[in-house]
Amino acid sequence: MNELTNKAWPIVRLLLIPYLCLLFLLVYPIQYYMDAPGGLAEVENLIEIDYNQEKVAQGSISTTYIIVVNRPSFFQFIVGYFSPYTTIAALTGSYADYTNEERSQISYWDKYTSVDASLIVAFLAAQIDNPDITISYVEKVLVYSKASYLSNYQSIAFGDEFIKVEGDNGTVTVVSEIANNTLLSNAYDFTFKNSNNEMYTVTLTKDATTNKFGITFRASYFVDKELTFPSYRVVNSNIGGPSGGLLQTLAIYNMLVKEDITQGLKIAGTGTIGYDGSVGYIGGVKQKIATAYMNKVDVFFIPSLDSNYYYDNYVEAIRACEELGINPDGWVIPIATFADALDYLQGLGE
Amino acid sequence: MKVFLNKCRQLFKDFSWKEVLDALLGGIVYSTLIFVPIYIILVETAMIFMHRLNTFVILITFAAMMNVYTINKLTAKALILKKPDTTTDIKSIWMTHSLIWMTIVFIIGLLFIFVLIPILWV
Repeated sequence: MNELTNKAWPIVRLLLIPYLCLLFLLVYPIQYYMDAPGGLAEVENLIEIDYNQEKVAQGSISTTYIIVVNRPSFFQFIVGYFSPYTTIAALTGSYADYTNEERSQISYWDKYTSVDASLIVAFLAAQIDNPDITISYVEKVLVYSKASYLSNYQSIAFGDEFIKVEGDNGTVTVVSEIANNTLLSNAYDFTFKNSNNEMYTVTLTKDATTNKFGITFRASYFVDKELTFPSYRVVNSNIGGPSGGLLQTLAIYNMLVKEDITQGLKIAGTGTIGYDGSVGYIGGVKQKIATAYMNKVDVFFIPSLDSNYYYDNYVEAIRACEELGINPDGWVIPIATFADALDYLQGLGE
Repeated sequence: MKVFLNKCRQLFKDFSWKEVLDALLGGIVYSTLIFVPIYIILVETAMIFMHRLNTFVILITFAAMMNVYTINKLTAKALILKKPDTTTDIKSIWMTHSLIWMTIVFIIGLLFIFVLIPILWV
């Protein structure tokens, strides 16, 4: 080794500083995030329903995922800047304070609750023609976001269930009543249940500047697997976020009903799903359009709720198509509800 | 193969284990210094162009093969620098050695493209 070192030392000495600069550009993270095209994930590979096993769908239903690079390096920023498919933006608000791991946790819970929402909507829709199908679910209130000033920040995890708070007028178990029952003091005892079903109590203190605890809750429905027929299994995947909701719902519905709603087509799309079957906006439209186009999908569903709104997903999709030189005619389909998507597919078969 | 083994025996007559390992260590350290930025560049670019994942796996495999070649090249260089008057055919030994390892890396790359990525991705 010494012989090599002696031989290479003049070059090593010359290149040392540029080398360290290059490594800095390659590893130092900056406060931005970058959306890049990803791929399609067939829902039947992610959610398995023990029903209609003999049925073979002629087409496929896939969610569209994108790659989100949190806190890219300078090098990635530069590469992404020159790529027509990527979108780069600064991390702002509470997202800027979250670590990459915390963002992954939020993404995981978004995905988890979105799968349960899809199951509920699809099972209830399929139940109309087939009363054998049953689904049972309960409402839980989960920790959805944490401000940097939240006291006991490390004790509370994303996805922990809110149980109660000892308020001014006794125990409060309903989230909407917390604000009116925490006026007299600065600190209150909150009880949560973690993912291991263990209860714990922490004292949360209001922030002096905002006069808030710095925690946000969100109510979600969770399917009771024991009381649900047919049984199902959700496969672990690397995909996070709620944007697969609509396509998950369509795919689950297709697994439950006798007819094949795919009509032999390669169906993809994006959009969150509400418990009433409404479809919600998502991010990364440009990357999802690019992904769908590269994967040659036949039908791509995209939320369209208000065509006058600049950031309406369908309007964004048309803009992205113009920018990328893609013809959207016939395959980018605007929808507002699960029923819209179903009607469109059933209309193709008639 | 027999010729290669005879050359290896000759190598260990000319050099002690310690000298060969020292040369190998030098080869690994310096080739790592060269290839670490290349790997980081490829992986970070692949993260942005994930829709071209297989292309990047091919490029990373190619880089790994070059890394193996460089390790062997530098090891041979270090041994020659240790004993410039050696009669052992060091270059051909390390070329054969690098070809064996490059083939292994190539097979691992193919495994990733055709087996592991389709199974593990998503």
